Amino acid sequence: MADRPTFNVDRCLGKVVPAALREAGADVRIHDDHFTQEALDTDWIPIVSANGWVILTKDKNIRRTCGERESVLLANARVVTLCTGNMRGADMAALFVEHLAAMEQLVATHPPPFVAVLGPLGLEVVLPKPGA
Amino acid sequence: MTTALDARIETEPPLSTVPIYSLAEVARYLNAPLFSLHRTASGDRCKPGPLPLNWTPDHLPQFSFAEFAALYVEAASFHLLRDWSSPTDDEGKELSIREWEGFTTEVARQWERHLHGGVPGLYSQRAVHAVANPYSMLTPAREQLLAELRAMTFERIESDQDCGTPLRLYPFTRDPSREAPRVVVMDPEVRFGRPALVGNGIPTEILGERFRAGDSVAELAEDYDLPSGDIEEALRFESRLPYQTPLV
Repeated sequence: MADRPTFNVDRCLGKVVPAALREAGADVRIHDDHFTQEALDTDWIPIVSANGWVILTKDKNIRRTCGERESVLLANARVVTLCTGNMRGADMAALFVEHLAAMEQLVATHPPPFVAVLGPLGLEVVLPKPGA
Repeated sequence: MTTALDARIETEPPLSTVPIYSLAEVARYLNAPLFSLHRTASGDRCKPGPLPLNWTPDHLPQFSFAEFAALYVEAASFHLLRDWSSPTDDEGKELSIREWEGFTTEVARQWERHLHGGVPGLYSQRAVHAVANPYSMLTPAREQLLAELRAMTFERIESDQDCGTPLRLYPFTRDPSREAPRVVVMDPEVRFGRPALVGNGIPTEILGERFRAGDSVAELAEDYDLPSGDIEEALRFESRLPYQTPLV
């Protein structure tokens, strides 16, 4: 597929998720390959967004943007976060791989910024709030 | 080159003063009574702040990191006082559930009273004695222990040396002691201030979720390239918190 998006996999997803996505043919960048482990939110989120990469994370707080600061940081970001819940690493990887095509479709059709939640039932855009 | 984003971030108030925690999150991280915190934040210790009939979580107060750090010290006192409460009365008779609840409520109420009465001195050593006074059950020995706990808790907060603004906090991952490791940090610059492992920003909550789902410590250590001791410390920290953020 031409113009496939690049996914920046947050370190909180470990090594198993990026490995599985790569095996499934996705263009994957691992967070720690581009940023130091001490990188601050204000450092890495704007750079990832400026590069047009899609943030994959399991940090559910990123979708509960309660402050102005988060709004600023996520101003141009495209984020897919795993739904809340207890999941083994292998299950997380399988879920991302299962919905890889849907994620790529979302990125191709939905302008930034957005935060989408990935769960067993698929993808759901939660920010900006539907109808807002 | 300064971007528009840089400019906006630079013109923001100090990060420690920007609200980043929801009421429910603070209640979970402090393991503190949610409604006590609500009344504290709304400035009314008699009744919760006004909420519209069609309220949503957006109507609830939010807390900055500086406020959270101050409450962290106060919550340590609350927990110690609650731990000292015995399930039996002075004659060794077991308290009824109603009496037990009443005691816990009273501790929470006294805690709130202290929070409201001592707000200017909350984030200082001067509050050490102020907190002890409202609690009539304290003996001199217990007052001393409480003061030591407050001092130890206070030391877990790293502050700006010039202005005293709290910068980051190393919550206890095990029972408080001066030797307790500093493996978990809450830093408003990292993970929006949520508890994470020092040096790599892995949220403890995610490690806890994976552990509860069935991943072993060894599997987590391998997947994150971390010493198993760090993983265990993160799990120890999570085990001290309520399982989930309270629903509000």
